[in-house]
Amino acid sequence: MTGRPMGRRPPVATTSRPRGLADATRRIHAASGILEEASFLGSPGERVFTFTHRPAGRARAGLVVCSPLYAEFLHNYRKEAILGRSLAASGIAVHRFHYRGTGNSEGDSPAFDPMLEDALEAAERFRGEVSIERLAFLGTRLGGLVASAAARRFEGAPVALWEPPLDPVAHFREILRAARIRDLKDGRISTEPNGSSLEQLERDGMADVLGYSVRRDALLSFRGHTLPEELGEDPRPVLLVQLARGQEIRDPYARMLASLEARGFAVDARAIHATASWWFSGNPDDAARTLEAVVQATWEWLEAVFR
Amino acid sequence: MTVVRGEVDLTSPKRESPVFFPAGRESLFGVLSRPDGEANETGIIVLGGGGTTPTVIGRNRFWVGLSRRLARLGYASLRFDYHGLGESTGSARFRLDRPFIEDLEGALALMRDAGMTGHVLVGSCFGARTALSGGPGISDLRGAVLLAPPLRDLGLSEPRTQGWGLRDYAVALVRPRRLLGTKERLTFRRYLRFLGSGWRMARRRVQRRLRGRRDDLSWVSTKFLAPLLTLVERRVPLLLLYGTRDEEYADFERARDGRLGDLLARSPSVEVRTLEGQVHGFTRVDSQGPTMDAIVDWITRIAPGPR
Repeated sequence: MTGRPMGRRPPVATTSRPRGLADATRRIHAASGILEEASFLGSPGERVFTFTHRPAGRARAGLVVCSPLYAEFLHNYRKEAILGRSLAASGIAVHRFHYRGTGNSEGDSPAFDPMLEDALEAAERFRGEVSIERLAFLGTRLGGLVASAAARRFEGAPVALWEPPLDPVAHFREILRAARIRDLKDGRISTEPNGSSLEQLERDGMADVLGYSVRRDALLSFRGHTLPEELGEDPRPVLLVQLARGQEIRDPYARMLASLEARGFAVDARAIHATASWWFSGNPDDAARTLEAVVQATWEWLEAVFR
Repeated sequence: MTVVRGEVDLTSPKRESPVFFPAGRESLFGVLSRPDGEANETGIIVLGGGGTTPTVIGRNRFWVGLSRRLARLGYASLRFDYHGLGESTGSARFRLDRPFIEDLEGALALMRDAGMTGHVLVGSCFGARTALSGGPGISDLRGAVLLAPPLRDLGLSEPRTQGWGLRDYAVALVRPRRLLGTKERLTFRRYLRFLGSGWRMARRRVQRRLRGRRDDLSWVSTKFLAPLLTLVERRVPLLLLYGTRDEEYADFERARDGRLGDLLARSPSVEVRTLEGQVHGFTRVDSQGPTMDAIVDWITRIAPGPR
C-alpha cells in the first residue's frame, strides 16, 4: 500500500501496486470507505473485465449495469462509474462489466445472446460475492434490452433504463445516420447504389460509424428483441430516463409505459434535458450537468425501490 | 477470429492485469499488458487524447488493440484513464497548455515498479502534448510517438476566432453568444474562458506584428516547441505522425516550411510520417490499422528485441 506523502494533502484513495500477475486489484476511497475492485474473470480468450463498487459495510441491495455499445459505451462510461460510487456510498453495491467483444474484455464483436449471457453470469456472480438478496438492473440504450432480458430471469427485479430503444433495428438505423453525417461533413459523396444504410450494412458486413466498427452480426442478433418483449409480462418496478432535448416524455415511451402500468408494472419516468450527443463530443459543462441529473434521478429511484 | 481489413486484432495476451496507481492526490485506473514470455526492458505508456471518454480503451478499442499487439511482440505496456475519466478519481478540464504531467509520473512509477528500465510514450493529441511536456523530465525515456500533436494551445473558441479582427472581439464582448456561434446558453464561467482564449489570441498577434517575421514560430506554443527542442538536443527518438486530413497537420506543415523544418532536417532522431486520411481521433476505421502499423513498426525499430 502506498504511504501518505509528507507535507501534502492525503490521497483520495489507498491503492495497491500490482504484485506478480494479479487478475484483480482493489482500492478503498478515503472519504466514503467504499471498496472498488477491478478484475478479469473467465477462461482465456473469453475473459470479461468487471468492476464492482461495494459499500463500506454490508450491502443492502445490488445493481447490475448493462452498458450501451460503440461510441455510446464510451460517452456513457463516466455516468456509470459515478453512479456506482454514489450508490455504494449509500449502501447499494454495483457491478459493472464489459461484454465480451467490448472495452477491456476479450472477444471480437458483441451480439445480443452473448451479451445477455455475460449479464446473467455477472448477476449470479455478483449476488454470490456480495451476498445480496435484492437485485436490480440498469441498461443504457441497447444495454436496456439486455438489462430487461436479464431482469426477467429474476422475479420482480427492478429495471432502470436510460434512453432505451423500443426497437433495436430503428436504433441501428439511427447509429448509421451518424456515419452519413460525418461523410457529408467530409465531403464524401456516396457512389453506392441506392439502398438504405441498413441494407448496405447487411450487404457489406461492417459499417464504419465515426471510427467504430458496427457489424452486421450485431444488427442481426438484435433483430426481434424489442423492449416491450424483453421487459416481459411479470410486473416489476421500471424507471425510464429520457435523455434528450425537452422536458416532455416522448409519445412512444409514454405509450409503452402506459401499457406496462396497465399490466401491473410500477413505472416511473424522468425527462432530463440533455444536449450532449451519444456519438459526437459535446460541451463538457453540459455533459457534467447531464451526468449529475441522471445519476441523481436513478439514485433517488433505487433508494425508493429498495427502502 | 475474423479481422476486417483496416481493423485491429484484439487477441489478448495471457498476462493482462488491472491496476490502480496514485497520481498526485488521485487514484488512476489502468491495464498493464505483459507478454507471455520475456519482456523487452522498454515499456510503453499510452497517453490518450483529451475529452470525456475513458482513455484506457480508446475509440474502437484502439488502445486495447495496440497494447495487445505490443504484448504479442514482447513489450509490456500500460494504458490508463486520466484523472477525471473512466474509473479514475477526480475531475478534469483539458487544456493543451496544461498537460497531465502528474498522471504521467504516476504511470512511470508503476512501470518502473514493474521492472521497466526504459520507456516509450505513445500519445495522441492532448496525450502527445503530455508526452512532449513530460518527456524532458524522464531520464530513461527511449522515445516518443506523437500522434497529431497540436502546435497551438487552442482553447474553446480559438479555431473559430483565428480570423477575427479587433472589431469582432469588441462585438463579442457585448454579444458573448457570438463566441459560441449557436443559441446555446452561455454560462459566466464559459464566457470567462472565452475571454481568456481571446486574450491569448490577441497577444500572439501583437507579438507576431512586433517581430515582423513571417517564418518565425511565435504562433507555435512554447509548450510544444521548447520540450521538442530539448528532446531533439538529447537525440531522443521521436515519431511525429499526422494524417493528411488532420487540422493539426496544416499547422505542422506551415511550421515545417519555416525554421522548424530546418531544425527537424538536422535531427536524425526525429521521423515525421504522414498517412492518407485522418490520424487525429482515430475517426475512420480504415485509418486505424495503418496508424497502428506505423506505431508498432517504429517501436520495434527503436527498441528491438526482448530483455
